[in-house]
Amino acid sequence: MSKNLSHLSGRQGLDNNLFEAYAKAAEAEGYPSMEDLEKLRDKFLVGKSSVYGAVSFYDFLRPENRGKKVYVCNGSACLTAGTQQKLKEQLLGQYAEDEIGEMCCLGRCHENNAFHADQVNYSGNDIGNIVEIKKNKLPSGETYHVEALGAGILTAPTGDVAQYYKTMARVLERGEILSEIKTSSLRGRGGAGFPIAFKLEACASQTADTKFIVCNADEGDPGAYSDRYIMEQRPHALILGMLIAGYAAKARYGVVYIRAEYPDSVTIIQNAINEARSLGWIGENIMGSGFSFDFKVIKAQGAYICGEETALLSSIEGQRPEVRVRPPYPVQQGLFNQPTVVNNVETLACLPWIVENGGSAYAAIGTERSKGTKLVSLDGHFNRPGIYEVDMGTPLATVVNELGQGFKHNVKAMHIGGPLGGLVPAHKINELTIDFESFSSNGFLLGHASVVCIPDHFPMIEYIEHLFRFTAHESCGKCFPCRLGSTRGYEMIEQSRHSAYKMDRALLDDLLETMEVGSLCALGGGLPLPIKNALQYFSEELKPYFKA
Amino acid sequence: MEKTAFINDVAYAFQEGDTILSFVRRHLGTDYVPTLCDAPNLEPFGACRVCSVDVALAAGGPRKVQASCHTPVIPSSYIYTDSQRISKLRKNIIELVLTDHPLDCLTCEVNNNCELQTVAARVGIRKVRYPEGKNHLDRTKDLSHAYMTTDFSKCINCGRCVRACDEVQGQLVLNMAGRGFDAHIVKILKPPCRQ
Ligand SMILES: Cc1cc2nc3c(=O)[nH]c(=O)nc-3n(C[C@H](O)[C@H](O)[C@H](O)COP(=O)(O)O)c2cc1C
Ligand code: SF4
Repeated sequence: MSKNLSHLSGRQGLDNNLFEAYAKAAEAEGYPSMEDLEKLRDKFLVGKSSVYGAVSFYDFLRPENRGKKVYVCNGSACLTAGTQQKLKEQLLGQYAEDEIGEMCCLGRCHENNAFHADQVNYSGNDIGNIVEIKKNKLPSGETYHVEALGAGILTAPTGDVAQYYKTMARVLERGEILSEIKTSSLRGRGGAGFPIAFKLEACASQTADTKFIVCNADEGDPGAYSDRYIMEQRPHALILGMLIAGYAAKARYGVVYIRAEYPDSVTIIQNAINEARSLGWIGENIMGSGFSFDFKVIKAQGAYICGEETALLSSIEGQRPEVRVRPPYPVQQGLFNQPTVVNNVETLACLPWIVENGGSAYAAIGTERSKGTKLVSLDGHFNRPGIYEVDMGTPLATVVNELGQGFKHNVKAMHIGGPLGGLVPAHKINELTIDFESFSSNGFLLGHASVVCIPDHFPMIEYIEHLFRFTAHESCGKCFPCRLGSTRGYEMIEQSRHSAYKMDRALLDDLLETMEVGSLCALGGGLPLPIKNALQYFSEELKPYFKA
Repeated sequence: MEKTAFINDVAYAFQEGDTILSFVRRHLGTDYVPTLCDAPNLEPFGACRVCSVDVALAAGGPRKVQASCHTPVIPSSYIYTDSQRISKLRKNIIELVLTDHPLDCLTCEVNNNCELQTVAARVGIRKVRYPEGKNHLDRTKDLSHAYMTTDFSKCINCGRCVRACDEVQGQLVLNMAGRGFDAHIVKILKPPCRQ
């Protein structure tokens, strides 16, 4: 992270954004040319190495992206569903081999067979229409089940838009909203479970001209599509939530950083912002209150690590999205060196309900330390896949057996909470409840609460190879344990799977410990959890890959 | 009242703004904790993780591994610079570094004047256990510049040159490019902006 670059990028303001300029320059060829980069260097007064270094980081800005016309989802749910190979064969009938790329993950984990063509995502039976899709850009036939068990806060319809934003009028009238958010005890839904009120308060107390609320809509965890659900089905809950957060933190701008793998989310959120603006809820001096707040939507360019909040901020600035050291924390020195609060989509979308119904009503839902509700994403191995909203503390068994209506076939483990979450063996289903404490005290992680199933017939070695490959591909490369360790771990597993090489258990254990305690962020630091779970619960199955 | 914290169970006074690394160095010497990516006059970077130490908030309390270069000292905390797991961590990190580094110290031009060599000797690396894999050993030397020669086959990605170029010189000529295992230094020797 370069403070110089943060400053230089910030001088241009959000409307003239360097990161967006990269994407624009890549539109014609699939990646920006050297001349494009020189122009950007001159415009932003940075170095050519600065722009080249940043651009070369992203999947969709690299030269390898050139000429790609269709992308197959290589996420965990499509992998364990076993749909990728056949899908690719079917696409080969319409596209040349080098026109087919990969994306991870399209968030179509409920019906798999997912691919992306010309800014549209497809899944399920869509592939049957590939000829038409290629010719006329058909819409996708996607559907998924949505249901709430309990309070149902996030899945409740937001109703009439003008009426919905009246909540903001009440906020402006009261003039103070932080105490309500504090009372709710709302904790971050992006993975770490940090109380949002702390960050809003810390940001509010900083002296600075311009402060930011950044919505982390990078939902990179393969298997998760609950943020996508909110953005596409309840976009105003997010926009209003950001307005409330902005008011509480005394911020001036809200930035929604949305992954490129969700093209519909980008459009729908932008439209919702326009709608709220036309109603007078966005802009200068909102409803004569003296509070001004504006929005900016930024589309990402393919890098999982941009979901890590400090990498995300560097990404918006047009820098290399490498993880930053803390302190300084984003609330002290975030976007463009200004105080910034970064929160997940689902966290922010809870705020309108909290304002409307009161913090104590929210705190009355859930468990002692995990309040409110949680969205859970179930993948295509369930009889009824979809997005389910449950009160914190709901038994996992209820989610699996009642909401998901059980598995389509025998499942040996569920990978819950994204690639860095724990691998929960099937026999532990009855021991867990959906809340932060239940998962962590049992040695797992609630994370963003996505559920990817590993069926009995799917080899565990292939799954852990996938996790290492994912981490090696997505590592930002800054810290030594993850940059080197994720690749070495992948090579060990890959060689043990495909050659006579047998892994040395002591070496693998050393590698996992080195990554776990040594890594700078939770990518390298988090991967060892599911791998250790696999080694513990599936030791017999994995035995042949180790030295005797 | 002076604030204190413990280093290996001995109490020392620390200053406002101290990182664990600056604190330990002031009392026990610059080389007490090994580092690879830290450099004077540059902001803490936290890449190599070799400076990691064990920290407990109370005597005998649970310990957490922290990179000393960017972690502020917590009053009355207990810092252990060479616990068993820290020694092991350093050794394992250096082993990983050596999986992508030529093992030709004896003929290397900086033999005996090399921080990596010193740290490797100190943590007691004997052999590299990983099977052969991807590496960058085939990169060739660049002797094109008058006084800046580079041999990227030996680069360990500490990022010090990139940061000096930015933070000290304000030049933005050097940067990292690519990501993950492919992250590498690029030099674009052209003035950063037209005046
Ligand atoms: C490798 C990595 C990936 C992450 N990806 C996401 C993500 O996709 N979405 C998200 O909200 N948080 C993600 N996070 C967590 C963020 O760093 C941050 O904690 C979060 O956005 C804070 O918001 P919250 O408190 O509302 O959860 C990720 C963290 C790491 C280490
Ligand atoms: S753990 Fe991996 S992704 Fe995180 S800072 Fe280190 S290299 Fe980057």
